[in-house]
Amino acid sequence: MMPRLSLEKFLLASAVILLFMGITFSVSLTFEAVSKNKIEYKTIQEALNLRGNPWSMLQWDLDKQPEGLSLGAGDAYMLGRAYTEAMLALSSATASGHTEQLKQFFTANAYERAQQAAEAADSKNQMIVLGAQARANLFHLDGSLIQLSTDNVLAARFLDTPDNTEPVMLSRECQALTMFNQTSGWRIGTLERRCAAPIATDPAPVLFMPTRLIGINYYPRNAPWHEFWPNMALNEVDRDLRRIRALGGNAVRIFLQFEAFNDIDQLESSLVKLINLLDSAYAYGLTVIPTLFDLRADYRPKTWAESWAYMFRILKAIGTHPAVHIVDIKNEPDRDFEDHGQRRVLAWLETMARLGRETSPHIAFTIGWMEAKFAPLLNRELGVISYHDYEDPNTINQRLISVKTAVGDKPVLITEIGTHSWSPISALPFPSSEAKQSSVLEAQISGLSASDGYFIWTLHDFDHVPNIVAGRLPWRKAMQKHYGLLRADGMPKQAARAFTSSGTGKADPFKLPQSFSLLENIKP
Amino acid sequence: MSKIHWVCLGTALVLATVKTSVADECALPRLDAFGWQNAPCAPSITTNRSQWSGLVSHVATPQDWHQKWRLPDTTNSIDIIAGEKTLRAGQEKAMTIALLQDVHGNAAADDQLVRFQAKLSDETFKDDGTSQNGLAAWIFQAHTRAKTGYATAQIGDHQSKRSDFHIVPNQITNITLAAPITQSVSPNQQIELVATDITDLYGNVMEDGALIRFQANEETGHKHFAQGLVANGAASAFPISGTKPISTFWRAYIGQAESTTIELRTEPQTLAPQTELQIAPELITRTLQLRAGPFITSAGHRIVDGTDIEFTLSQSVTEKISAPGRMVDGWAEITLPLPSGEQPVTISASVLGVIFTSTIADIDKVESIMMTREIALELRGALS
Repeated sequence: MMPRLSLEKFLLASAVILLFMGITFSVSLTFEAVSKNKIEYKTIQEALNLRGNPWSMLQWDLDKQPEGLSLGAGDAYMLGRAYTEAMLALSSATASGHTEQLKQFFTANAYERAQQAAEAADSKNQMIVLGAQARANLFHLDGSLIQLSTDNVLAARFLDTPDNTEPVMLSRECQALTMFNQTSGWRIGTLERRCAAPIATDPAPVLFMPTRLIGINYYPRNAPWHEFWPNMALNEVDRDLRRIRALGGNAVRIFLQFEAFNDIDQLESSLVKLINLLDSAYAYGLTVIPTLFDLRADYRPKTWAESWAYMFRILKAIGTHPAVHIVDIKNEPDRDFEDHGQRRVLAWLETMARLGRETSPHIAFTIGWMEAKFAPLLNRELGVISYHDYEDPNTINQRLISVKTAVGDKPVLITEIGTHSWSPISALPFPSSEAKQSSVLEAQISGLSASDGYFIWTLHDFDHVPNIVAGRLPWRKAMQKHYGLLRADGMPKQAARAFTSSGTGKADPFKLPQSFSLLENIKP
Repeated sequence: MSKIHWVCLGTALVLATVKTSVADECALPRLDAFGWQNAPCAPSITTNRSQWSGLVSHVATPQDWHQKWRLPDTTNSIDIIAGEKTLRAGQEKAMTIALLQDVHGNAAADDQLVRFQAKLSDETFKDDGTSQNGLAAWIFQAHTRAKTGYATAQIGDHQSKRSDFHIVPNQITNITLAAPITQSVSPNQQIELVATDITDLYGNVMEDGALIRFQANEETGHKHFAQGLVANGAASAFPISGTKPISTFWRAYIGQAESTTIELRTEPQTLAPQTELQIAPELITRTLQLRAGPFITSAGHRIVDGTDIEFTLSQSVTEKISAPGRMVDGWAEITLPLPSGEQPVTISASVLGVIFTSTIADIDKVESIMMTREIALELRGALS
């Protein structure tokens, strides 16, 4: 028989239990806070940023062969890598003042100059080469020396001082350089700047939108975030896109993880899958907003060139696809202001936006700000303004009006709205329920009637959510799993009906009547 | 961008910056090929970095640039890179690149005349080149004569150091196998094979150190190989002749070049007329240990290891015991049953068709005795 507990003992035991729960809760909150700001790496090498950079800054014109030895693709690649390493090392040395690494990439006269320049540099004022077109003029028959001309050298200046209102300056330059093939590889021996002109800073043209975008953010139900591209099954994606259209959507926002489109082993496959997805979306009359640099938060100047290489190759692949009219440069970069510095993040965004506009003038660029208050930032550089709104639905319209007022005639999209439907006990509508989710969504959509479009987060509930997105806390993961219009088994929730009944997007939203050119109607 | 474009661009930019005063420039950040300078007029910059050639931008605002060319001066030093260092005669091309620098270490000004020269002992080849971006290049074809030479470049009073190169024979097309003094050789005898006239298409003699291979085909289908290194235009190999009286057909070759074939006939084997037989009877085990040798050829060599030998011990016509053995260092050993009785014992050894014989009256008392060659059998062997 169990002994009877006295009231004192019961109270004491209860106090101990409550204390234990309190401590556990505090630890959980601390852990959550730490988890929220942490970046997860798959390998130690990645964490230490030791991963090799397989990309090259140089785009070669191999049709014009040099005097002397012919330049093949293999040599061109090695030269491009050496040039890339040299320019990164110079940028890094000027930022840090440490010149030891320069000797690996420069020799002779150029080494002395790079060393002097780095030693005299102001670390707040950096020049970063982002890419160039190259041709060889003279290649020694014994392969020991090559003289190059580089044109269209994209250079960025990042002036990281608090009083500076224009932290970024972009220029297009050309160089003449001689490289020597030495024991440890190619090194730059002479380097001379031959032309330079600032890249025009005209404001981005305003995208003409023939109709509103009614869209949905999309990941497959069982392969969200970084699992998407490596595991993408086109038949499943095709079915989901058809479903988005059936629900009344005319747009879909997708995410292009940096690794999937930068890793040399994944790149080609990812691009093919992306084109397939776009083709499929276009067939259903959906426009697609690809969101770049997903799950990447590195704004250090020495990584700008790699960032641009990633963006450039994607724009080259999809820049003229009929399903793509808007590209979201970065999802919620304002999350990174605190950890990475607002000036640096904005400088990086501005650089990518301006180079993107130069490369793909038919594309309107946007940034998916997390908070409406940041949406007017970089307005001048963007063709479309976008932000996310998970705040109080009752004031959603005020935030929209505020943004619209700040950005003038730029279209404004709210590229993430919605709420979750999760409750730990299905009978209790706490913290949410499918009915509550639906009513919130209705309120949000209703409040955004003056917008140029909105996108629901997200099509599906997910059967799992990676730690990198929602941390390790189970209730956070559970909420993140239940934002879908459809349950994980594909059955529609009430929110799906709310979405459909709130308005159906016109198919092919950017399709214009004949004899009506989108380009001609882009307002300067 | 062509040279003309560069000049036009440079001129335009120089003109565009005329209005920029020095005082303004000192106040503006300065951008050159190696990055930014916030204090362009600091003493270390004005005395050094301002001498670096190329386009310099003084940036007032992102759109307001004051650009200025710092043109390189004329050549102050000249260096040279010539290669490949080793060229095949009459076939390969060499490139000589002159690297020109002005007094500040800049790639020297364009369009300067560079005089190239290649010297091959008594012959000199010359050509002119024009500098571009600090380099001038000259390509010349290797002479048909294999020689060592050097290239130089000169601009004004400035002369480069020499850069050596080496023209080597092209692919060898000729090789001759000189016949030995006699076309017949003794068996088991070192032969000297000499390959001569090892030359390329242009008559250049093969360089020392190359490997020449010699191959012999026997009448029987067996092959033999030897090799020698070229020294002073010839290569020798020293194979050992066989022991059988047959012909071998030798040729020398290198790469695709092959000599004519010569025939060498190996003479029949002859052995020295006598050899020693050591006898060691073992009474307990009733065995007789025999050791015969050394078997010497007429040329004075011991018979090669592994040569078959057969011992025969006989006390009468009907009592014979034979056993085979093999030569080691010209000797052969064998153990036979100790013969019984007191009759004389005849021991013979058959080697290469030659039979050596010795008769011993009292085998228990003899330790060593000479064996003598049987003439008739030797003749028979020679005929076989």
